[in-house]
Amino acid sequence: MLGRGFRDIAFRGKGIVKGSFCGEALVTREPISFLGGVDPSTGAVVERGHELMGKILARRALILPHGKGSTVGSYVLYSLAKRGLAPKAIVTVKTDLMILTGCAISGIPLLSEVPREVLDVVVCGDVVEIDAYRGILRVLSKQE
Amino acid sequence: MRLGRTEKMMLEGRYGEACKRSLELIVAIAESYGRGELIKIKSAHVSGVSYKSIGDAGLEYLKDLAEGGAKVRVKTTMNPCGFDLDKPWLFDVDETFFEKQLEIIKSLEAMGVQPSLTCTPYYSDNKPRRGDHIAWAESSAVIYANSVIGAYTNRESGPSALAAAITGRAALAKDHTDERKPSVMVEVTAKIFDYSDWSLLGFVVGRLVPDEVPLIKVKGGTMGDKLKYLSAGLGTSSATSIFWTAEQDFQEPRDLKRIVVTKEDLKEVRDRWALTRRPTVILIGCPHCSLREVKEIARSLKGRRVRRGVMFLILTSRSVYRKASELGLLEIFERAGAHLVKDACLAVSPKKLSRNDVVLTDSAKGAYYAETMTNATIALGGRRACLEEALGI
Repeated sequence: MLGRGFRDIAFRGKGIVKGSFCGEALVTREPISFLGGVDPSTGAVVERGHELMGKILARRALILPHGKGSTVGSYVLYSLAKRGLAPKAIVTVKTDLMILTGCAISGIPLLSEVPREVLDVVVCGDVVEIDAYRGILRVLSKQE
Repeated sequence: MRLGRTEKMMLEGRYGEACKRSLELIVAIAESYGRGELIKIKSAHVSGVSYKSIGDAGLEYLKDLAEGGAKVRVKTTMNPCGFDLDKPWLFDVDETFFEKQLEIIKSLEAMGVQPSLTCTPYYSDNKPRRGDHIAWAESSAVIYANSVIGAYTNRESGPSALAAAITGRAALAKDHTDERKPSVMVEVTAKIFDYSDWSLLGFVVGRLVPDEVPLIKVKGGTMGDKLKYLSAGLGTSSATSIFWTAEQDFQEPRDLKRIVVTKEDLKEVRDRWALTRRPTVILIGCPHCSLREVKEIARSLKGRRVRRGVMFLILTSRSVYRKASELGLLEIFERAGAHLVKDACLAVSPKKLSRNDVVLTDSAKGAYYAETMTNATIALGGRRACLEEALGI
């Protein structure tokens, strides 16, 4: 974390797929599998028992520890992105090949190797700014 | 990252959108897993060919690439799909599945990928030379290319191998350097006889040291097709991309950690996959058989017939199949009621296997995938046992 002032919570990571986004955050402590775990026709999380079960990924920044499951998940991410159903940006604590590949072939900005605390500090509904050129995530406004 | 002129132009989109996105993927991998550098490659081999594995999303991606005019820049071959295109009935393929599979293959072909449909491209379709830098997917072929041929490749995924093919570049990581030295010595005290022993040995070593580069010492030495089975077993249970054997010319690092693989280690897995009932499906050729293996099997089949109620599948590549045909071997298989099959891999096949099926194979990789992907009972036996069970001798 760079600073703790209310308006100035920021995390540094590595911009893996360049790009930027400003908008609502969707945060989970559980890894996601895009193959089987996300409905390719709606972009909703459908893995039974998952924290984000039923949540829509579209239009948000998805913040998670890392991906899991088959590398075919990369193709699912691509397919979602083409229909406007994929997250607008993805932030991970650890890099994994499935999410990296999916983001690269779909042009989704990916910020990776962000400190794990991000999962405690940022909550669903916070407004964040993700700059994957410089490798920074900034929290612009907190959910009350 | 240091980029050459062509690479910069690729990223600017001057070679088209597909090439740009593909290089972005290779760059992202180089920055995350590699050393922030790219390396030019001489060939590629892509996996993720079966409609069963990649589904509509994968088909859509490949179609978009092909329609966008993407072309491979190096010799590129493709992994098997789930059935023999000329004998789909053997694999419970319905019309939709068949059509979708053809679309996948056509999209890859439109990009210039050869329809080799095999996991053993190194036998004839795509033969790297010692020292070549290549970008291959398919773990058994990766390990074989690195360890037996002496080429250099990362363990690529389907999409990354294709991106490497389109850009002619791979991420420069440890597997492309001479730092890929053994990190553990595996002394094998168990006696290793046939192909199934070799695949089982690879499988057991991979389970014991999943993240290491093993130096494998086996009494009597190692060579030829046996090493293909060792590569496949090792690739199934580990993340390793290379192994070393005592016969290879290299300086053995000092103070290597040492483990022993005993008869009991192999027996434990063998017992789990012991044959307890009559097999309904017998599978040879995981990875695909070489011409020598096909000839050997043909000799055993000559003048005999496969027992009723048994489907005997011998998997090989199109190119070996063609050679077998030229040698007049196909008739022997047909007369015996055995199926010499090309293009196919059971692990990615729509073939329906029920709880009542018993699959006997001489490959630990085949056994592992058949077990995880179907409800059938799985058995591992030697090649001789497979032939004897098939022929009832």
